[in-house]
Amino acid sequence: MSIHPAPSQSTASLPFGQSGTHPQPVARKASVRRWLGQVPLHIGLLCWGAFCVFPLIWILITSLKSTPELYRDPFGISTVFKWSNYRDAWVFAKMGTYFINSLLTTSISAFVVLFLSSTSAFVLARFNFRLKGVIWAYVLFGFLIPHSILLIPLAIFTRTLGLYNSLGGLALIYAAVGIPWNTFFLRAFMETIPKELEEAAILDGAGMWDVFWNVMIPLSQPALATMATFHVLAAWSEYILALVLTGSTASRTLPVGISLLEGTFTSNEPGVAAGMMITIVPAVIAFALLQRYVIKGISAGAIKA
Amino acid sequence: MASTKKQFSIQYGSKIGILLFLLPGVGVYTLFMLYPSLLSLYYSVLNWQGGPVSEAPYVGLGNFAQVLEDPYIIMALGNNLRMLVLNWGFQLPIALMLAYVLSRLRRGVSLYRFLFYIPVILPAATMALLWRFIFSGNTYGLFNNLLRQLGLENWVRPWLSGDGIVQWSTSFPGAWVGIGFFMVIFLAALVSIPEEFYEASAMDGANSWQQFVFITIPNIRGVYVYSLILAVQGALGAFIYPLLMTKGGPVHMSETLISYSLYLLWERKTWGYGSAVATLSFLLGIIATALIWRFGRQRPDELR
Repeated sequence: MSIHPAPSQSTASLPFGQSGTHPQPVARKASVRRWLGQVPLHIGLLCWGAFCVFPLIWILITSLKSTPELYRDPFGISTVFKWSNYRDAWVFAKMGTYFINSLLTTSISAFVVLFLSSTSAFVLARFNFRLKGVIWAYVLFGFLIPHSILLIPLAIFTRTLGLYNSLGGLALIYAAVGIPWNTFFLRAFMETIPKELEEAAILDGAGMWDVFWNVMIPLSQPALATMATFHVLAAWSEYILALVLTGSTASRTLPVGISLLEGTFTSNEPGVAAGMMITIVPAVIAFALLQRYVIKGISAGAIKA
Repeated sequence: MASTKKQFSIQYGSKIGILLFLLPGVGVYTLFMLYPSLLSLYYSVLNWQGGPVSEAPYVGLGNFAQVLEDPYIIMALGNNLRMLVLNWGFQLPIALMLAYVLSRLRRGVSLYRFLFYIPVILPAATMALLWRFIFSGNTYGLFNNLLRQLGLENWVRPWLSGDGIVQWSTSFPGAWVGIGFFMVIFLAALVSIPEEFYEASAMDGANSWQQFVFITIPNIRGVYVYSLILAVQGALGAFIYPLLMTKGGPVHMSETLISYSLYLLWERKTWGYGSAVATLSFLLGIIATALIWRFGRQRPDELR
């Protein structure tokens, strides 16, 4: 499943800076008794939280073990941390190369998709022209296209265009499949921006590009940050397009690399776990830093007008 | 203001300007998303097994007729259906329950939300490997070890190879991973319900269950319908857990439509038939989306 948030049923309102980002605690009768009554809830929630985080902890523990230790006791913590597992994964299994590739693909495609989507979104948000509705529906049709039906055509097509096995090509395709959702969200946001600043710029003689670049883009920064966050998290995790559109060690990304790791590391499960940590840690750090944008984006999508 | 607006659109809505701004985005989308998806529809009416596509014979709906006779398709569809059942019957209710509890909570909301969302952001390929470790039949298989330690020897199973078992162990992780995502959606919808609704009903003597049924549910209906659609699309498009946990095996038992189409495309090189299977999944998704929209009362207003 894609991690893109649900687009709302209407484009009319996007509650940036509204209470949706930080749920207000429901305050009925603020009493100690009520607070105590919530203790069982907290215990339940902590259990579920442990269930969500346990995998990470287990992978971390396992990545520092030796294989015999894992076989002897799959849950225990090893006495001596075997850091060399990380070196094996990073160097021997080429996870270092894949890491750089993932980093490049993810960041390039984020810039490209934001540029391609915000230019279209600007025009769709601000001007009336013939076929506007048709173009809008045409772009939104992309919501319904699953990546899986693109594989064979893209595999052939990218070879023709010389984009096969290139990080730039993969980044461009990640950008392409992100366009419908990004355009949808950015247009909705831009429609909420008051027109006064643009009008002032126009009176000063600014052209269309000036208005877009100097007025719309700075004012759209909250939405751009949200979209960049979603795109980065999605591109970092993307598997099937990367598998099909790259074919050599030099251009593989981390998710593809991790799926091939068991072939490289026969009966070295701790080495595999170290490789898994390499894919996980950046995602968790990015999410911890950018969490509010994720929440904001989903909340904006969830609240219908 | 109307006159200013008009002036604005005359000066800056020049046709060439609009075209130049639309072209990059719409062009790239057309080239790398829409056009390939149409090509895929075209491939699905060919008997194409490699070689130049121009030489592949046209077979009309022959591939789709073959789908009906392919026993593995029925099994794959069954697994997609199992995932749908898990998504609707487990994933969404749990997500709603968690969101509801969080919306009533006084403190700790952001911590829980962070923890619950973590599985969503981790690369699915990594999560699939993890679940293979969990369900592994090897000595380190986590789940079997856990069962042994809890004294439930009888429950130890070959989770990744037993018929009637492997289908569940490859379906469950996908449902589990998505819970955090839907929880955040529901939580956002829940906190947007005006508190006065609850206060007024409390004065009328409504208990929390009645509040949930008569205030919460109607107010998040639209969001829930949308989540049902996303969950269907998730179930129909699922492939990564079967693919990376069992390769769809043993003997295609845990295959989904998409993982089976990947097998046809890459292992069997039957590109026409493989495309037809992927197309079938795409069409089922569109039909399901349309049906749910129709009966969910919500309409795609932005498509006007």
